[in-house]
Amino acid sequence: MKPLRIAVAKGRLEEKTLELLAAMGMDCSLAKDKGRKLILPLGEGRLELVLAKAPDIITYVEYGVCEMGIVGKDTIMEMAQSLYEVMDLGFGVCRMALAAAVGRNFYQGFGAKTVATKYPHIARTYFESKAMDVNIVKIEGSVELAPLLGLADGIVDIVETGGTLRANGLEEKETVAQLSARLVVNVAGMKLRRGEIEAFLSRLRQALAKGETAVGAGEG
Amino acid sequence: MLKSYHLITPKGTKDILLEECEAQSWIEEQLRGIFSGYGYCQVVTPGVEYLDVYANQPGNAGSEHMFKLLDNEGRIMVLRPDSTAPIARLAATRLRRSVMPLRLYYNQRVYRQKGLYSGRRIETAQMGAELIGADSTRADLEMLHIAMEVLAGCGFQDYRIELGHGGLCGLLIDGLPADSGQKEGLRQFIREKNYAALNDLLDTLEQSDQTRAIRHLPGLFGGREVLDRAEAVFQEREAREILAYLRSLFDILRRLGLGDRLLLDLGFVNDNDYYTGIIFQGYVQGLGEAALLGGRYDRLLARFGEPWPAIGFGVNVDLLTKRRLEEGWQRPAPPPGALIWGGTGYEALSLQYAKTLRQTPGMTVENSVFADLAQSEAYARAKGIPQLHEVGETIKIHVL
Repeated sequence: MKPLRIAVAKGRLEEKTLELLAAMGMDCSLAKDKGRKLILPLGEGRLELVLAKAPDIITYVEYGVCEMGIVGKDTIMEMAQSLYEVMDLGFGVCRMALAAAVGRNFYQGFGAKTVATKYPHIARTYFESKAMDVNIVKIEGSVELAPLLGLADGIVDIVETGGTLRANGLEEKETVAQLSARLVVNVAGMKLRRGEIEAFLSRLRQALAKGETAVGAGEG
Repeated sequence: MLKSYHLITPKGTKDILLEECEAQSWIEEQLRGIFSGYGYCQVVTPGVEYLDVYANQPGNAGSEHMFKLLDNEGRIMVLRPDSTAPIARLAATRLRRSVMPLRLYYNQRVYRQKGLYSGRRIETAQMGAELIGADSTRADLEMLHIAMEVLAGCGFQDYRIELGHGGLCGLLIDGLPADSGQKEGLRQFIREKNYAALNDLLDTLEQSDQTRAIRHLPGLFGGREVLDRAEAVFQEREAREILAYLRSLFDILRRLGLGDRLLLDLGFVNDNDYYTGIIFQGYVQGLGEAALLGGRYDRLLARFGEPWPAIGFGVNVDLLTKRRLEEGWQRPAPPPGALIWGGTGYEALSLQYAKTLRQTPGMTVENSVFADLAQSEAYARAKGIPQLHEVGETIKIHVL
């Protein structure tokens, strides 16, 4: 049987994900000084870790070339069409928010608003649900620049602490969605390799539960 | 100069040739053999239909995924996104005086818009069967049996058919004291098997037998034991009747030795209430999505004027072809071919001789179009044709 492949998002969630896999008893040292390797064997060859950019995880899991993936809810909302989102892993907690200049009412006036975002699908769905016509401009880098430069009236972006917003004279106006890391599973894989995947899920649950008690003890 | 696109095919389409084309034809032959063996007759419907034919389509066959065009009177037409609705139209109109039930099959392409650079094809080769005018257990069994035979007949050792029911989810959700937004949320979270979000949403509702049953829905998939687990949590009479029915189908197929091939998923969410009874999907090891999808759709025919029940399924021929090729499919070896060359004055005799040779079933016999033997031989060698027959006063066979 081929090893189960789990794709893990590089970047924001990478470190926490590797900690979690380590807590499941997997040797993740290879992933920490990974060099240029992108597929790493884990756990006696029954599992392979695939390091990928977050949006690509959705693609790989939907095609079934990776059975599972760990990725932020933001990426799922932006990209996903058909996969199972079976677990909220509880880390990488932040929110998708609408932000605009401090003190300014984003909704003021009748002119169509322009919103800059890295997440055009999420932004469009959000304003559609409010029956609002909004110009959406896709920005690849620091989205906060767009209102500062006068291109946009507001932004839809990930907010963790709000520090970047404040430093740039912006403030959060509305929460669009709560975000955190999720475990996603390919639809056919879930059916055809159910035993292996459920075993993985239950180890994952145990590791998460252990993590929570450790945090609780620390606070006590 | 304007950019010209004359050397490429539109995004999401491709030419199919040589080995892939042969593998696809082979799959089509297997399916055709199975369908006609069960008494199904082929029908062909137009490549374009009026949009009105396709209302309330389930899943990604909705109108935003259809290619639209206008006829010369401004009516909206669509490139056929699915074959079941046109066949229902055809059955309820042109075949309405036929002996029931109708057994029809199709082999035609369907067209759906796909995301830019998603690598998905907008054109898919699809085959399927529809059994119209029968709503018995026997009809459901026949369809499941054919679906299994299709996957086995295409040479897949390790296939699964997953059985579910279109009525179960709705039955539990519709009666809940929740608003439509909450109900949509429940359906979404069951569809995604998003246990956490489903439980959070259910926590905000008044607790009842129904909410308790719904909590289990995403997890109710797997083997036959799923039915036992479901029976422990479903209290409603109608839900229990559905479970009993699924159990009876499962047990009959188990008696045929097909029990290992069957899975259950009770968490199937029924878009637009299209399906009215059992639904089933076919999975093949190595494919990340279902290769076969079907179910009972007893309300569709009524839209076209006849209140007939019906059940059917469609097979994604492209996916099966792709998978068989990955598994190293090879064309069943045909009898060795031959190239026939007749010298000047022997053209008629050579054509006649080649025709005689072709009576051997499956034998490919090419006529050489070249003026001399040497060129014919070079061509035969380049194409890997094992024999060159030289037609003159006598026939000389050159084995190459």
